[in-house]
Amino acid sequence: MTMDRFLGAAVAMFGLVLLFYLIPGNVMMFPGQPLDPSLFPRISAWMLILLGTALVLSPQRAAVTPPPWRMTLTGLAIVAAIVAAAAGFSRFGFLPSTIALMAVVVPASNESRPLPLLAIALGLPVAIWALFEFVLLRTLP
Amino acid sequence: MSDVLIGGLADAFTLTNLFYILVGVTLGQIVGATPGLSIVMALAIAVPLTFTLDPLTAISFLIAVNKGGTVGGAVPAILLNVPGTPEAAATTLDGHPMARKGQPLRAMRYALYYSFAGDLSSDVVLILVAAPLAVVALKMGPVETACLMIFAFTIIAGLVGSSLIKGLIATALGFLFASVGLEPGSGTPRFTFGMVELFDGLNLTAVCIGALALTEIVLSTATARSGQGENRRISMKTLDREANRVTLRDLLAHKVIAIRSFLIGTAIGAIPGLGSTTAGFLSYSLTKQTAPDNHLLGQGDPRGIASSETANSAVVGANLIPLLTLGIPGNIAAAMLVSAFIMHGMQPGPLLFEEQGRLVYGMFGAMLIANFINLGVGQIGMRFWAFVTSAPNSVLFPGAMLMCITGAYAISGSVFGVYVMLAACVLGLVMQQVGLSVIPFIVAFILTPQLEQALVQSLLITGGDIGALAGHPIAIVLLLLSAGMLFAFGHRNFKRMRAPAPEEA
Repeated sequence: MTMDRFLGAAVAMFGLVLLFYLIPGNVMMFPGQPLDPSLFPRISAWMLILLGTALVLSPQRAAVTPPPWRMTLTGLAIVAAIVAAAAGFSRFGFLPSTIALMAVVVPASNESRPLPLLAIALGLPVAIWALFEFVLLRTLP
Repeated sequence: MSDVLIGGLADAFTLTNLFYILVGVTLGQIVGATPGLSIVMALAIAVPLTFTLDPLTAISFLIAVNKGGTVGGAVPAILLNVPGTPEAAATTLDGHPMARKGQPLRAMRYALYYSFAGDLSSDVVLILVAAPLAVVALKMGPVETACLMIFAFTIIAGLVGSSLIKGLIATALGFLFASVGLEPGSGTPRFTFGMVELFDGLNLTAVCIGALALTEIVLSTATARSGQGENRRISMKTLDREANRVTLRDLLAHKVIAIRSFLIGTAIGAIPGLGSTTAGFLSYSLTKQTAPDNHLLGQGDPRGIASSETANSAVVGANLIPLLTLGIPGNIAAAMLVSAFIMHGMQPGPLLFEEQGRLVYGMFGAMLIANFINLGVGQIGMRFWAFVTSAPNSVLFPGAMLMCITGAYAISGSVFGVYVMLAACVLGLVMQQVGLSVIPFIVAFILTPQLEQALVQSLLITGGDIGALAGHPIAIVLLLLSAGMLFAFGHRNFKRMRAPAPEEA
């Protein structure tokens, strides 16, 4: 199965789940409404079902090369680190969380020398915190 | 009317505005000159900086960043053979060879002057056509508006990315994500999963930053880790001053190419879905095809720089035509601008001229000023931006990432905005991986509330009777055009599929 056929099948399946499970369970209906509030989500679901099926039947030749999987997985790992840092905002505060995040992200961007790594990991969060707190007057946690 | 026009233009000439335009242009040029950082990233960084500004200053600042980024992108294209922004990709073809001949400043001057000419001319076109087009757009009812949006989605889905089907899938995902929150007509919750934070829907700016900018930043960080993107920079020391000079006569020698490139850039900018990169390459290839001595193009010929830079800069002003007259963002930068417009209480579209006309003309004034400041800053800063090209990735990408996170927090006032941005980023990464373009998704996400409102109103007007469309000839024409476009794009895809696959080198 090619990537496009797999994608088409996944999209069509998602459309079906949306139509038969997610929309009925998550779009509330009240009597007397002039128009069904689930109309637009149902249009999306039908589009996904039809287009996903079309993709299964006629896989497209990619004109753009997607990024290598390794890069996307590294990207997802970075996103996971940001989620952890964001979760720490309320508990530890902005500065400790972002300094910890930078300690993970800066080595990921090819910086392994200890002194620059320390300077960037400490300097960037402090500079951005000061910019938002004192210049833009936005309170950070 | 003239009061609004003159008053608006005068509003742009305040000291505060001039200061922020100067800062915006400088920031844009620096970011554009930095390989790996794009204009969208610059806008994502800049949007949170506008919190405390009044709407005109904020929009002027962001437009200045956009304009500066287009000029700055030529610097690494010329010095490193790596476009600082995708817009400048065609500039590498002749800019870098000219720099290798010992004329890097000459190449950058050509790029700056033609970029200025293209941008300024397209701004004038915008100013002249936007208001009359908006008047026409205002005459359209909900039925016509709904059909116009369907037409816009068809064009964007067909032109952007590798296939029409994938473009439409991305559009459907945009519809779906935009339907999260309270339904506009009745206030019925949809996909809120009992979370109060979702009642207002997904924050537009957070989604834009996540799907457009943060996706690029995390992928660039991953690329930096693999050691890609390291290039040798051309030295700016010991340059022959005479060989690097560009006179007015030199510029006028390619006036026909510049005018043609401006027309290409303006036309492409006005069509939603296409962007500066397409304009630059299309204009370059046309110049190469029509030049009698076309073997010189690609070897440091100023005609190559003229065609690429004039066209890609002409897109900047023209892509605001569909945004301001119809509310349809033409490209990614315009999508980022929409989020900023809405953040500052403005709804792009024809009503903007009626409700906030003075602000629109203030923005036009700021755009004209920004062009001249762009020229001045580029003239002075060119040598300095050359040093920016060697800025370390270990500072750039983490810094941009942290600005996005902090911006998303500040925009939404809670960590929830950061989570929305991250979810959009994950979606962007997955979409890129499976070959779905993010642009139709974002445009659909932005336009869905208006489309839904127009559809609901259309259904109420027509009572769901298709025959009632007979009383709306413009809507019929738009629907026929959409069907024609679907057929044309589908046929193109079918032909591409049947063509033999290119052999691997």
